[in-house]
Amino acid sequence: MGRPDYTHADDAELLVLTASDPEAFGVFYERFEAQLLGFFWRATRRADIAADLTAEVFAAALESAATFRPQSGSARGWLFGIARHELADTWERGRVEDRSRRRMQVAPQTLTDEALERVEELASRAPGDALQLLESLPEDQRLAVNGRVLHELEYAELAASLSCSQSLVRQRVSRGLRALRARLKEST
Amino acid sequence: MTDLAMPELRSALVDAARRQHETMAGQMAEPGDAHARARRRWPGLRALRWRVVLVMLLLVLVGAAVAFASGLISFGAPAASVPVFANPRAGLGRIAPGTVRLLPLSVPDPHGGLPWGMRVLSTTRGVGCLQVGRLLDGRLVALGQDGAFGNDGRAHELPLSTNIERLNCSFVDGHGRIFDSVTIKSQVASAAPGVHCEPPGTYAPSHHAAFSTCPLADERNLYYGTLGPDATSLTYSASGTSHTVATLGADGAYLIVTPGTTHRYSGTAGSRERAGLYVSDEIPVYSPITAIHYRGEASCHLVTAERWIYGPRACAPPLAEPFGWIQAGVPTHAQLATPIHATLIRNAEGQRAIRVRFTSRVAISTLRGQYQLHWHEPGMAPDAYAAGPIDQGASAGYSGLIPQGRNIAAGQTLTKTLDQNRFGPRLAAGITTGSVILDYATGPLIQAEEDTAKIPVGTFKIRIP
Repeated sequence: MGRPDYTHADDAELLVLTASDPEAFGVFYERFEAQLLGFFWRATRRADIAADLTAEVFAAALESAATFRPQSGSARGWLFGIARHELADTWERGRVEDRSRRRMQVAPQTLTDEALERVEELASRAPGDALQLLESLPEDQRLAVNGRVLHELEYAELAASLSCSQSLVRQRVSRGLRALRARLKEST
Repeated sequence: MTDLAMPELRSALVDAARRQHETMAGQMAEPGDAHARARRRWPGLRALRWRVVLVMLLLVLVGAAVAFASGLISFGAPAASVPVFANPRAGLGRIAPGTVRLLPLSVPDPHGGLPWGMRVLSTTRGVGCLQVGRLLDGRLVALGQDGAFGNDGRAHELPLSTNIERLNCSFVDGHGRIFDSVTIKSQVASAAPGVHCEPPGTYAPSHHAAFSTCPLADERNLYYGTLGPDATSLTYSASGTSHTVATLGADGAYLIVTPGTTHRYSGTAGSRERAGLYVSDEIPVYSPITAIHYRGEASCHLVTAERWIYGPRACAPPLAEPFGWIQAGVPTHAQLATPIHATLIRNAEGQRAIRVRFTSRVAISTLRGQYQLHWHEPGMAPDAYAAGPIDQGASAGYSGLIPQGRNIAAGQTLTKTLDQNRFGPRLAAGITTGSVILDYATGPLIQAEEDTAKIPVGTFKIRIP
């Protein structure tokens, strides 16, 4: 029997399907590996720590997949919630935890220099030019794009931290990204 | 497979998922397998041996039907327990003694068999949960059908600590009462946790193969909840007819079970509709309930049952909180205010770090409250800040969307160490400022940002040379 085609399954469905088909979690991993590596790389600037944190977050996500409830938010938001939690823990403890990996019996990953370079390459795909251009945006748009795109915050979280409504945050992100796109076109 | 940086990690995770799946397999057969087996049997019916199998199968089914009807169904092993109430002082807490109540509700199943029931429980950390299942001998059970428990036809008692799908939790109010309403569509009739299958036609043909399907007759729609002590009845529509039924006692409990209905998802664009299939809120949404009636002729008319509007705001006129909700006491700044000490230290790796330390003046013994540290580093935009929970490193694993903070005693000293800024490995030179804030949920929903009070505790400032 061939592998099921999960191309059209959304992220939440993949988590739900993990209980009946382990391969669904593999597809979930494929969708978010680069995003998580990027998130952790931007926070730590260390490819080895980013890889370690990514592995721990996916193990924690697998461990908790059965408790994920689509009505409580997006699967992406849920995953990055775990990621922020692990990052905060790492800052607090000064080391990357491996509790979930131990519980799930996920063996430590040995990363070669080549693999670490690959992590950096994938993680740093967020265009550097765009990061510089980001600084040129008006303050409100820069904060909104920074929070949403670089720090992967949900709109609700972002609205709370910027003390404004979600619709205003969405508007700022949308305008900021449109301006970035236009300026990137101008610069190329 | 896409271009991955760590393909070995992917394999290791899929292997781990497979081990997890195999652990469950002892109790549950895959629904898809059961139906595939059933389909494969049809062509063989022409042969004698299949006639024999059919006769035996009919005998088993008749026997099971008789057993169900006569109450002779036997008990099998209990359903798997999930440790969601493992620690009395962390996460959801432990089930508080004397709070588990099987409500005197017995709702007939639309296709016959065991009725449906509901129980409630509360925990040591201010959380109340609802649990539904089939009823047998005063126990909540799941049935060995629809692919669950190897289709053994037995009743399997649902443990109190079970899959979160079968256990819907929210904060209790100031009087310990639960205000929660749940809509579950496409619930398998067995009430077995973790079994998912959808009626044929649910998914577009392009991704139909990825999901388990089962006959529509195996599906139920469940609408249940507790509306509080002021609720007296509710009105819902079914088959084009409006029904008004009394709610139960001081809980204001209700449980409606209807035959399954077909839904149509369309891949990622269908996420929103899919979300409507399992919803919990302070009042019923995505349900056929059109009005809730309270004492004193007050009522909540739902604007529309099929549109997503949060909580009691879905009532016309909108409510801030459901009728009868008593706000739990929220600590004040005067009660919480305390000096925040920030000192420059060297961490284990010899790098400079900021150690933030303060003493909690009040005890926090509920999931509602969690201290947060907000800080602003040199180089950040003037009104931006970084934030993180202060939980004494107490995160005992991450359990889905359930925060894992722990109880804090009055007089307990809490610390948090910042040893790198958000954008680089080292602390930036200059002045870092910050504040400690207590996030305290004021409504029933867990992790609802709009119903969270943010109470300032104190501030700090430190110069990094």
